[in-house]
Amino acid sequence: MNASSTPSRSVALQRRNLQGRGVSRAISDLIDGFAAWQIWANLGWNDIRTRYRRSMIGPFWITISMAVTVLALGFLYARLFRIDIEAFLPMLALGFILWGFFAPTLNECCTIFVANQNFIKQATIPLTVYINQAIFRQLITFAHNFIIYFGMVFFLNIPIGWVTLWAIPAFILVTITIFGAGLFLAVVCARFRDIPNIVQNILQIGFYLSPILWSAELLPERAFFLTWNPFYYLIYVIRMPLLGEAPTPEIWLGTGVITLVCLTLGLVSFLLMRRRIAYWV
Amino acid sequence: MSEPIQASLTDVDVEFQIYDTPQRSLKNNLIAAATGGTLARDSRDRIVVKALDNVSMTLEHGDRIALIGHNGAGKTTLLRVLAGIYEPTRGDVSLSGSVAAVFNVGLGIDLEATGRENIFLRSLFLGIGRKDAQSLSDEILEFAELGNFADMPVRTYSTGMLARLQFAITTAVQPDILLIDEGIGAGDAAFFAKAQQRMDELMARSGILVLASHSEGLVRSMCNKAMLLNHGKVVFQGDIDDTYSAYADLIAL
Repeated sequence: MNASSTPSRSVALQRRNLQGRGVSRAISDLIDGFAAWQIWANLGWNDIRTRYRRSMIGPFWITISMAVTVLALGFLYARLFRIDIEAFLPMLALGFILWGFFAPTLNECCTIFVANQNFIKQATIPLTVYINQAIFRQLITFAHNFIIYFGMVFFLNIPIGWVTLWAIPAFILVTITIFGAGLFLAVVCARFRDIPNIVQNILQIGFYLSPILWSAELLPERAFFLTWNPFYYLIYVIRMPLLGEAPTPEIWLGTGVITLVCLTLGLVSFLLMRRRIAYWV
Repeated sequence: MSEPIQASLTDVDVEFQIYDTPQRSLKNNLIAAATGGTLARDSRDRIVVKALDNVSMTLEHGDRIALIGHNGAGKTTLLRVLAGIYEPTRGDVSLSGSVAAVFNVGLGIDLEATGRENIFLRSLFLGIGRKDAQSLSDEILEFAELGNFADMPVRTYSTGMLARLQFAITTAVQPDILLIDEGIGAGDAAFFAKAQQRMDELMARSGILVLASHSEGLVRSMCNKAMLLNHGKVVFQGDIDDTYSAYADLIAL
């Protein structure tokens, strides 16, 4: 027998027990999906690598293009609003960086199962892997953008202290929110193909109605589009501590409620509908 | 000891709801469907395609079953149910053992990545960790005869090299349960004999083989039983000769 034609026997494939259905399979999909971090982390990195292959600066183009955008808009709007650039720029930059995490992630989740239909119909990995991959890749992008914050801390007068550390639990909460919302959108959009367009529209308007280019303090009184705007809370809960202020109880409460709602929507829709997803795409 | 390798389906239905086709025009075509699953209506009066209709099968260690039937008979759908991709609309699936589904050898090939990187990416989809992927990698590269091209982007490969790489990756692991949709192409003639041998070994060593194929030669050389599907229903199940004569009768109808 020709030795070179013998497949390697040292590698054992993972044993699977395919039993149960519906909800119980969806639960193991969620658990296996997180456990398979090697898959989504590597695929996420590979996405970034592919995009910047043969580029000298590589993924730091993400940082550069974000820096250029916020600098240009910062100067423009500081003049328009007649406010001090040094106070305005950090707020604007963080708003942009956070929005640059929320909007693309949610938009991508809307089309994630359809975009991956080739894999879904042919590979046997958990469906949540695709969501985790997208979120992980967006987190890599976010990390590159976040370098700008350190630059601003260095060059501008941002009061940082212990209070800044609140940004860490805040960011974890927000990431969980995005996961929940993304999972919900992914499931619903696989079935109803008009929703991606609706979401895209809402996010477009959301950009202007959220305190990114402007701050809530500029409004003489609390507008309804702030009180009922989830992005207001999600932005402020991270931005306030990063700019040296503890988030107010109202912001924490709002963020907590949003996280709970999004996570519940995401989990419930996935648990109930997972068995249909392969049929829909 | 772990459970024995087995796979079974009990009264499995797979129904696809059709959302995007205008129902009126579809109504006119209800009878006209010559191949494919049965078009029908579900309880809520929606149009559904019944891709599998009350399918049951039990496979144990040593079973090598061929799925036979014309295009649209439900062979691929049945493989996907076994792979856990489609969860049946009715009925139960029970399966234990490691599964490899070989449906598309080109799945997930990234043309910008190198051969070595592609092996790694592909092994992720098979659920193999980085360490194991490393040991697989050398064996695959050697088998695929890529030489110095191992660290070149795949887009620089010739068609034959790409085919060899894909084949070598796909056949590098040894599952308990092997699901194959059609024979796998293996590139140029020189490579063919070597590929054939490897494929035969892979199929021979798997605990259970389910092979959907139109090639009677392949079926006869690889399988020890067969199942004939038509419009998603099991028409015949038994040894290969009997199944093929049932197929001949079906075509003659």
